[in-house]
Amino acid sequence: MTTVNLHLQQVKEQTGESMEEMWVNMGPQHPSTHGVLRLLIKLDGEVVRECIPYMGYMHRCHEKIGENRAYVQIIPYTDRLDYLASMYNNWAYCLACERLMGIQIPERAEYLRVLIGELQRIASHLIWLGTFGLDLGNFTLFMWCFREREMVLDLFEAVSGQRLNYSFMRIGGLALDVPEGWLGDVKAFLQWFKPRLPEYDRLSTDNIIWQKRIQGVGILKPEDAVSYACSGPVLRGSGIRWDLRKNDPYGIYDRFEFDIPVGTSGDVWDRFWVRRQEIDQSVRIVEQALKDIPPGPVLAPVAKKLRAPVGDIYSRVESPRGELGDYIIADGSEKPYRYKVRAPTFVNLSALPVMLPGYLVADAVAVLGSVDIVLCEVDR
Amino acid sequence: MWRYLRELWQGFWSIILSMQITLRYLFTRAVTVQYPEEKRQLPVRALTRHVLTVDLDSKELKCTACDMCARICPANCIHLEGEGKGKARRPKWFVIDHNLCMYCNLCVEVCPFDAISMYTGMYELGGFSRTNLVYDMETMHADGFYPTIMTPRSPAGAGVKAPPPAGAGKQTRKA
Repeated sequence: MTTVNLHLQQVKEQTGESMEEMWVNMGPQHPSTHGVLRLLIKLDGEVVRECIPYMGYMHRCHEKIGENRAYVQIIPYTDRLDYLASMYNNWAYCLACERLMGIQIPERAEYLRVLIGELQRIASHLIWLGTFGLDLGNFTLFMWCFREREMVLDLFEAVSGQRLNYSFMRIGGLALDVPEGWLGDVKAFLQWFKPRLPEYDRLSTDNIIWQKRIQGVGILKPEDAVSYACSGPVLRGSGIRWDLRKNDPYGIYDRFEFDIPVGTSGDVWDRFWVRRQEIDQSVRIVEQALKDIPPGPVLAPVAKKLRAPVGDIYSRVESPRGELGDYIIADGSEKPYRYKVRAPTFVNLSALPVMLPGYLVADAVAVLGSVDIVLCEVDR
Repeated sequence: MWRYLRELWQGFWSIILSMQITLRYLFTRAVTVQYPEEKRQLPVRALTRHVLTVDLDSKELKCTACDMCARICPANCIHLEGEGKGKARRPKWFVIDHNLCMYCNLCVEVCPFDAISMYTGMYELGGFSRTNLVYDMETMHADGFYPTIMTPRSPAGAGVKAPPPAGAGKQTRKA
């Protein structure tokens, strides 16, 4: 008897459910789980009664590896967490180290971090929109979102030399200044990108089939969202105005004007609509950052061998998926004593058992897609 | 009955609106590249295979086997041994295991002598066994100029034109 069957039998013995209900595995190999995720779903006919997410298939001992590396050496490893928004992983880690060591980073580096971070948010939301459309059968949207995302990746490649795992930020600023004419390329990208947004709307938002598919599905009540410690668009979709860029501003986010889109009912549509509007807000922030970016150095003078003073720090940034936090305990040596990552998707995914019950199996795909999971970050 | 027909029409109309845009894109140029036949022009900073840079006059390696790159490498993929004392110190052997390399550029940034570069444009690294990806000193010996972070004309690697098309290996960049 395989482990899965054994487990099913145990669950049956413990819960003693009737014969009409059935436990079904969704995953680990399933095209719409975006990675290796196993959902154990109790079905009553077509209706989901219960859901248990099983994670850990891609556990790579990220935190343990971090304890055996010097502070600078961890940066390339953080890229491998949320590979769709690597810049934010770098940012969260570098910010934690800078606060721990008391390093002030130059003005231009702050602006470039915001600029690059918001471009990364656009790219991340675009790939989410594309794969979400793919889950729901809207293949054209997938192709177009990837086309624009590719342009953002080209911009990042010109800056850092990599397309996915950038490891571009350093403790104390950025690895390099941007190349000549790069800011003009960003402007050109925005000029191309802004007229594309109404086209996405016409394909998705205005489409009555799309609306009927995702409205009123997978409702996450605000009190549930808070008690499960959700963050990011999942929390904001439930109608709670909480964005670390406004509520706990890091970097220079207090200098920018932007709105926090929030949903009303907490269904899949609200989470979709929040992300769709966040793309607009990111475009706004990038335009403001482009306007008043100062010249100057991008890397603060830091020692070659970084040693952190004894102490601990928790610092967090608002990644495209929610609150991404790094907790570091330093014992005064070159390596952190303990290094912990608070992954937003891990926490958001834990709220899935509240969102799924009562809806159809076909809706489970839409609900799972709306959480925007990256399994490499969930399992670490 | 009427409601059903109305919703049917709404769904149909949504599809027509979407298909209008799709049809318009039928007549625009494709953004994809037919890879093996045509290749993208990589940016200068594209991190690709390592090269040990040489002094352009004497054609000798700049590397002094100071071991900085091997110590900073998070994946422990650089191994080398030096021989000689003082200014005459040169690497006896120098191996980079590209099975492990994460292309983080830390070894290049830390090098005090500008002796190693990843701005080479050699990205087609496929091999038939794992040992094909372990590069030794002869393979990585540069045959010409390669830009680095410390290239004097452009501290940030900006403004440097692409390196000469003849690479150190078989792979070359499309000029």
